[in-house]
Amino acid sequence: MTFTIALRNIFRNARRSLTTMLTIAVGGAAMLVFAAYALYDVYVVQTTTVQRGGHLTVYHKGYFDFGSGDPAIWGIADYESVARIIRGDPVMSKLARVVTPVQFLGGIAENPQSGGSRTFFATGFVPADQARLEDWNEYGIGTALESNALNGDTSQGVVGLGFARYLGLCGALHLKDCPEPPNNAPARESDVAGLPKQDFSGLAGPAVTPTTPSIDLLAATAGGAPNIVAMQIGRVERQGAKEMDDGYVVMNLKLAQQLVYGRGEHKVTGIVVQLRRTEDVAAARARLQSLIAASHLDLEVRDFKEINAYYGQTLGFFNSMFSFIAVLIGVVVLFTVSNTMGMSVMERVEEIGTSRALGARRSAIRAQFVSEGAMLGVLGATLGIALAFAAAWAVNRSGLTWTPPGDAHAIPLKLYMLGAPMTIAAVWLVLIVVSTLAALLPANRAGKLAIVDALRHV
Amino acid sequence: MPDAQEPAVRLTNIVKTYGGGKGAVRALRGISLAIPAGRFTMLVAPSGSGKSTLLNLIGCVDKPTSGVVEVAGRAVATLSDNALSDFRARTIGFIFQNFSLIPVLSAFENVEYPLLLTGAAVGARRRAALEMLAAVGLAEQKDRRPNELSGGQKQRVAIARALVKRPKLVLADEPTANLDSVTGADIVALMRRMQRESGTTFVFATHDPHLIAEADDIVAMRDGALTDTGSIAP
Repeated sequence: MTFTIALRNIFRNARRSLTTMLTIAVGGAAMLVFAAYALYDVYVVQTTTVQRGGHLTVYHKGYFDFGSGDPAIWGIADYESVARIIRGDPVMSKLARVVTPVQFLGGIAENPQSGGSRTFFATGFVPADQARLEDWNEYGIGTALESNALNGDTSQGVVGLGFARYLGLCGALHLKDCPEPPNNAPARESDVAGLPKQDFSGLAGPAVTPTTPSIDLLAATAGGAPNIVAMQIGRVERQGAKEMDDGYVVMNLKLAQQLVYGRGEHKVTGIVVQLRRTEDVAAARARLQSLIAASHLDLEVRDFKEINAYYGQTLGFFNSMFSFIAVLIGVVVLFTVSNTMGMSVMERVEEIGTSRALGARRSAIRAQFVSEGAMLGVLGATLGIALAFAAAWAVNRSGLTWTPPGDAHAIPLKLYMLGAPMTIAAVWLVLIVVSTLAALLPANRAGKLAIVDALRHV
Repeated sequence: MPDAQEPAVRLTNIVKTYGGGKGAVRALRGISLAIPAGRFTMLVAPSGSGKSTLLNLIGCVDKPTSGVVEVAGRAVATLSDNALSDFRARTIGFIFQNFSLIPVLSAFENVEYPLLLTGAAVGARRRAALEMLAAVGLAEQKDRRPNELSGGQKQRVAIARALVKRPKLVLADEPTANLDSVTGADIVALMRRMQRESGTTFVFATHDPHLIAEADDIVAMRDGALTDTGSIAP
């Protein structure tokens, strides 16, 4: 009957109880909507990250910490054998959807027509594998990336819009939103500008007649000698971040290897492994490490969270934001329920006295009010979940779009309410616990009332 | 039930003082009294004479400043708060001036409630509550909430609630004060009938002449002290 009395008392002052429940519900809904939004954001960042570079990358041991400044000397030799070991492993074949070699490099690019030059950083992919990497879509988000997919032409590559602008390719490529340098652009007056113009044409291969504008890419080979290749601009794609857009080059792996290794042995910087499901990262990493150890290879495995520090930072940011919001809402719920229960005790002093006179123990009185607080929490939290689902339904059908930081395309704004059932359960439970705790003080006060004073209360 | 020789209530040199120092108010001044079992006993006194205070001490909802209270042969001063609650739940029924029904419970649930506090089984609880409601003539109104009952009906529910656990002692503080004279007379007759049927000891604090006319014993008080005690009925 304790629960009967508690439940009926909730509806006794329906307006006050409804206000309290709504406070809990709106607070809970706010937490869940934010959690759903944060989860969606994390999935977006994860999707773009995994589409670009897979879940795991196998490097030459030490490359990750020491070799990124000089990828040419940290290459993996006989990488096809390593890729075959991974692809042929029965465990990895179930977990992985793409296993592909990649080459990272950096150097100086020049437009031979305009004379414009700038530094670049490039990734060399196997075109078919790169297209498959970009297909990864575990969470049904699609892509917020511009596709950097290469065509099969070894000599063609993709560059960022900013990169094209720097090299004065806007006119030749008929690019929109890509201005030519102004006539009154300041001229360089340094000593370097005074040096005689360098001519790298002697380093390049046999001259071809390009069908699209071509640029020269200069880099140091593994042996330290300068090397140069010509790359046709197959496509220009704007990248989300300006610093990336201004220097980004994606090229065919063979062209990248030709540039870095020249006539020497062609190696790769890493072997990218993209899994079917992100949750398999730990298992796949452990398996890769055991394969490497079994084959006595001097390699190491890094996952996408290590390689892309901003992924962890994004996760941490949302976690701290969620915690902050949860604490604020928890405090509001705590005080609201406490106030409601305090008023309820004040209104029922005589009833408390009667119950005590009839033989109810102090603990029974306390239990009655604590139950009431808990029930307010249950009703409010449940209502909050319903509100959050309603909000998610509305947002997901609203057609709203947004462009994630660092990306180039707007994508639909979605709330992934079902993506984290444990978060929903946790928010529901926390709200009930907070409501119950909020009722403790008033309940204790009710239990301590002197019977005679309570019976005299008017 | 106490044997015929043992009083239902024995008070020995009871003093009750409210407050302290110069502002202390002495509500009861060394009262010693034995209330016989199975009787209809009235505490009769002008307002402010201490009869409600005395009733509260007998009902174990208050403690004397000094003196010994024994109810149903048990000295209650030594009982812990929980033990005292259990003792009240099993031994004492209360009827209040303003009915004091629990508003969110139906008439039936109000009558069932004291049995719940004694730990009675569900079936026994429901059977006893229905029987008691029928005995006070409210079987038809069992599902009504207190706000759907008249004053007389509320007090009938309160009487049923007090008696449903078959207590050794029922305490009633001005039970007819909030009722019109006709309803009050009905209630007095009902309590008298119920008392005769159950043999329970009833102790009233009252001014009501209808009620006083039904007394077996009268205890008169003034200014916190007994002025007269005596039996009217044999």
